[in-house]
Order: sequence, then C-alpha cells, then structure tokens
Amino acid sequence: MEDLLGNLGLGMSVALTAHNILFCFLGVLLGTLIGVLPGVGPVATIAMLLPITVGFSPATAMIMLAGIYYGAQYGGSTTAILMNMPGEPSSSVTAIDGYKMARKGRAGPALATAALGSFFAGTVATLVIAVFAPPLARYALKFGPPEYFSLMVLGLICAVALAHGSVIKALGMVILGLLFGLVGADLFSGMNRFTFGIRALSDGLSFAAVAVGIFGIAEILRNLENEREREAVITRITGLMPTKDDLKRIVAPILRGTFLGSLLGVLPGGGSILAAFGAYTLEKRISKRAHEFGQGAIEGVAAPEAANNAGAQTSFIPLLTLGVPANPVMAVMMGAMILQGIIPGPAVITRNPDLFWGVIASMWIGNAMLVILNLPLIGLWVRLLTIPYYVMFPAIIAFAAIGSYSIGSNEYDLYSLALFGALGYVLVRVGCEPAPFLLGFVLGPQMEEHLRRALIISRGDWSVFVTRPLSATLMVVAAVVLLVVFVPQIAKKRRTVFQEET
Amino acid sequence: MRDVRSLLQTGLHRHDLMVGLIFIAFALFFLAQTLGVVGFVALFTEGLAAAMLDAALPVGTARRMGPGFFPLLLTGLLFGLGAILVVRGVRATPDGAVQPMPWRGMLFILGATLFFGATVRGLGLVPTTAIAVLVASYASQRMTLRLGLILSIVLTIFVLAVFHYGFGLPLRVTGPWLDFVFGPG
Repeated sequence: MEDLLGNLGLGMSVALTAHNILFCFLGVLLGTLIGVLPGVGPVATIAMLLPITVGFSPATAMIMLAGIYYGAQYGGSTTAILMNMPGEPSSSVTAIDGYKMARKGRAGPALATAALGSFFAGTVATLVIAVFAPPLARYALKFGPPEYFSLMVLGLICAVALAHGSVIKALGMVILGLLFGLVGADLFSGMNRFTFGIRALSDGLSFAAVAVGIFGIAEILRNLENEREREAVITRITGLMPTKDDLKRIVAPILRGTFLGSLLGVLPGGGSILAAFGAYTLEKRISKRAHEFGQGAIEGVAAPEAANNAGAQTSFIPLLTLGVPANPVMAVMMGAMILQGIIPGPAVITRNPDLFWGVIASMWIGNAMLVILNLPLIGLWVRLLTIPYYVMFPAIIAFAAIGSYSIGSNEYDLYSLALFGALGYVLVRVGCEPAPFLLGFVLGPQMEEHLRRALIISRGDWSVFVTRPLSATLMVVAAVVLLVVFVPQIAKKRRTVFQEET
Repeated sequence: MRDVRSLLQTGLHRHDLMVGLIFIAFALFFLAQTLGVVGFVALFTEGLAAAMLDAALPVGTARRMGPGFFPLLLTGLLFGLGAILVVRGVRATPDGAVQPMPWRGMLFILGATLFFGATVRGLGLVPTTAIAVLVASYASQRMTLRLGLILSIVLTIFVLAVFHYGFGLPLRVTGPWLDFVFGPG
C-alpha cells in the first residue's frame, strides 16, 4: 500500500510538471477533436504525430499520445449521443440509448452521464493499473522465449477471435502482417529479406507509414466511395445536470461497467469495444427496466461509457507489463516507445519508473481535464461537425504525408503509405479487418526472435512450447479460443453480436 | 482496363474468393522471395525438401533457423488459408450489390502521396505540401479550383507554422531544386 502511494506520488510529480500538463492537455484536446470528427481515428492520428514526439522525453511523448486515445473515447460519445454518429466504434453502443435520450430532449443528462461515468471509470482504471501492473510485470520477468512466443500466439489468436467477420480472413490478415513485419535485415544473419535491393528498406517498413496507410488513407478512400453531406441536425442542449432519480439509476451501472471494462480491456483484440458492448448487454439483462433499453434508458448510456473508458485505459496493462499490444492503438503506442528507445515489456516499470507511473498518473489528470473540456464546451465540438469532409481530408493527407516522411526522412515511407493505403482499402472492401494485420506487423520480428531462441534452447525440439507449464497453459488457452470461434453455435452468436454492434 | 475493372467488380461480389486470391498471391510473392528463382522452380519440380536446400534465404533447421525459416512457415499457412477461402468463395453465392470503386479518389489521393514522396526532398516542404494538397483535394467530386487553392494555401501556412516553426521537424522549407530561385539554405 505504501509502495502504491509512493509510486503514484512519483507519477504525480512527473505528470504535474507544467510541461507534461500542457502536453497532456494537448493530447486530450486533440483526442476529443478526432473523436468528434468521423473519418479519422486514434490509430492514424497517433501514428501521424509520432515524429513530433521524437524530440520529447519518453514520458511526455507517452502522456500526450495516451491522452489522444482516451480523449477520443470521450469525443466519440458526444457525437454518438447528439447525432447518432459514433465518432469511434466503441461509442456505437452509447448511440443506441444516448441518441434516443437526446431526441426526447434529454441530451444534457445523457452527456453528463457519459462524462461522469467515464471519469469515474477512468479513475478506477488508473488505480487498477497501478495495483495490478507491477505484480504482473514481476511475474513476466520469469518468462523465457517459449513463454513469450506462446503469449504472442495467444494474443494474436484473441485478436482474431474478437475481430469482426470471418475468422479465416482475420487469421490470414495476422499472417500477412507478420510477413510484412519481417521486411528488412534479419537480426541473426544480417541478410536482407524482401527488400528488392532497396537499401532504405533494410530497416524494415516504417511502422508509422503502414499504420497511417492502412488505418488513415484507407478510411479516406472509404469515405470517398459515397460522398454525401453529413446531416448536422444538432439537438439543442438544455440543462446538463441529471436529476436525482437519474443519479440513483446510474450508480450501479457505472460500477458494473467499470468493473467489466477494466477486466475486458486487458484482453487482446479491441478491449474497449467489447467492454462497451458487454456492459450494455449485461445491464439490459439484469435491469428491471429492460423494456426501456433502446428507448432512451440512461443506464444504457452510463454502463457502456464507463466500460469503454475503463477498457481503453486497462488495455495499457499488457503493453506496459508484457510488451504485447492488446489492440491497434497499443500497437502504435508500442511503435512510439520503440522510437524512443524503450523496449516495451516487464522491465519498463523498473528501468523507466518515471515513464510508467507518470503515464498512469497523467491518465487521471487527463480524465479530469476531459470532463472540463467536454461539458461546458460541448457546443463548440458539435459545431466542428459542420466542417465538410472535402475540407477535412486534404488536411489529413497533408499531415499523414509529413508525419510519415519526417520520422526517417525517407521517401520510401511515402511509397509505403500509398501502397498500404490502397491495400488496406481493398482488403477492407472485401471484408478483412485491418486490426489483426497491424498487430501481426508489430509483433512479426519479435515472434520470430522468440521462436528462434526457444528452439535454440530446446535444441530444435518443438515440444518445448507444451512441456513448460506456463507456455503450455498459454498454448492450450489459444487452442481453446480458436476452437471455440469455429464451433457453429458460437460462431453464429458471434456474428449477431457484431451485427448489433455496427 | 475494362477487363480489369469488370474482374474487380466481380471480385467485390465474391468476397471470400477475392480475399483467398489475394492471400494466395501474397503467399506466392513472399515464397518466391524466400526461395529465389532456383528454389521456387525446384519446389514445383523436385518438391519442398529440394527447394529448401536451394532457397535464396537459407532455411536452416529448427535448431538453427535461417532467415528463410519463419517466412516459409508463414507463407505455407497463408497459402492454406487462401486456398480454403477460394474453395468457400467459389461455392458461395455472390455477396450482392456493391459500391463502385472510388477510382477518382484513389487516383488523386495516392497520386498526391506518391508525389509528396518523390519531390519533398528536392522541392522542400512548402511547394510540395501546396501541390500535394491541391492534388489530393481533387479526390472529392465537389472540389472547385477556387476552394482547392484556398485549402492549399491555408494548409501550407498551417503546416509551415506548426510543423516547421512550432515543432521544428527537420524539413527544409524549400529544397535544393529551387536553390536557383531562393538561394541555398
């Protein structure tokens, strides 16, 4: 306990420097902005901004980039409630009842509920990370190469299981990502792989270019398929404060949502989306007012909002303790850490305590800023939606190009950007998810390294992955998850879940 | 071109088939790179064992993996998944009506990106951004020259102020190709 307070104290001392407060604020501001605006998400934004953060200290960089992520969760719910347009996928659940509330003239209480629920969940999730991350990291220090390889297999399989659509396609996307991740010089032999003799490719494909291409450029192409004006029917907001009755109704859902979100956020493969959906389903099932769900039940706003924010934050746990990203945003954060010269993994807590605790403390501060940013300034955010898309996307292209180029001053990064933009678009068009691809891409080199090392240790004996107890456990879980998604009944259920969600 | 287009439209109707073919194409691409010409030919004439001996990227053994080992494993998996999808796709009914491909958007957006890459070193940040934004903006059917120019100018000023002066990214304002106009530096 004393440890915890001391650590949080250290974190606060880092997060509360004027410099870090400023960049935390910039991060959540930008996050809210992109959360409100459809068409650009946190993955592409964080990847585009990587070059700016190169000059920062690692803690400042991570504080700002993390702010973008959870800021986007807040912003996304604003448009979900006011206009039935979830800015982020994880807010789509909020739109169901939030928008109905807004239509009934209760937009204010819905927004306030979302903000309060998110803030409470953010606070709890911060504590959850602070309590559970250090022991997990200590435990992870015992991991050898076989455990790491199995852990990555499990992580990727979970990401596949939780992706929308066909499991086989998602598996293929993971493998395609792993293969593209191998482009460049092989660490063991120094031989160039898949570089076509281009020297600039020896360092591998630029992570930022691939991420921005497949998430940013591809998204723009999708939006250009069918250009129509966004109808900005803005609901007037009167009276922000929830009534006493409202408050009574939201307490339990927020608590349950926070709990579920914190738990599901840690799972690989889209923590916050799953959390929001799970929390909504749970509330609907146990509520005495089940019939009100879908008609503007305030519980249907409170629970998923708490859950997605808690999930967004606890999804940092696997990255900061195991070095395995749980979702595409964490994959980009991992890229940011590597760019800063920090290898994500269990050693981060002990080697860079200021970074670790500073980022965690900043989450709480950032969440407080978001409440202030969002509630009084809501009108401003909503007005942003009147910006037509044809003004927005050239700006995104410019930022994407400059961002991708300035990391390595390498023109091939722009060619990668265009290539992966086109590839990402085509693959999304035919029903493939980009998230498993990006996770495979960042994990490719590490997976190969751990596989090699594991088999060197075992002298070429593949059974090493199932004879070491921990590795065997991870492999069994991975196999069960994979089997489960192929069981017809569950496969059917999974399809309906994702349909309801979109 | 027409044939390619109609083929693509058919592909968009049959998602599984299309994805399967894409996966197989990538599997073969990476496989060919891993094995090299000699190894790739050997794979079809003499089988996998011979191909592994001739591979351009040495495969090695499980105990001492070469740079070709993991790629070979992955391409095998990808090929298998692609084959399953192709079989499933041939049997499946078409997925129904699809949106047309945004050819205009792809042309201007990818064109702007490639242009930026090809000229940013030579022309420098300002001219390249201005032209790339103008090109990219034409991806929208609603774009007019007036609006495009305004966007281009406003964004270029913004980018210069924020990225160059604000964050100090290492990009020259104008590049060496324009030194005869602006002088070096």
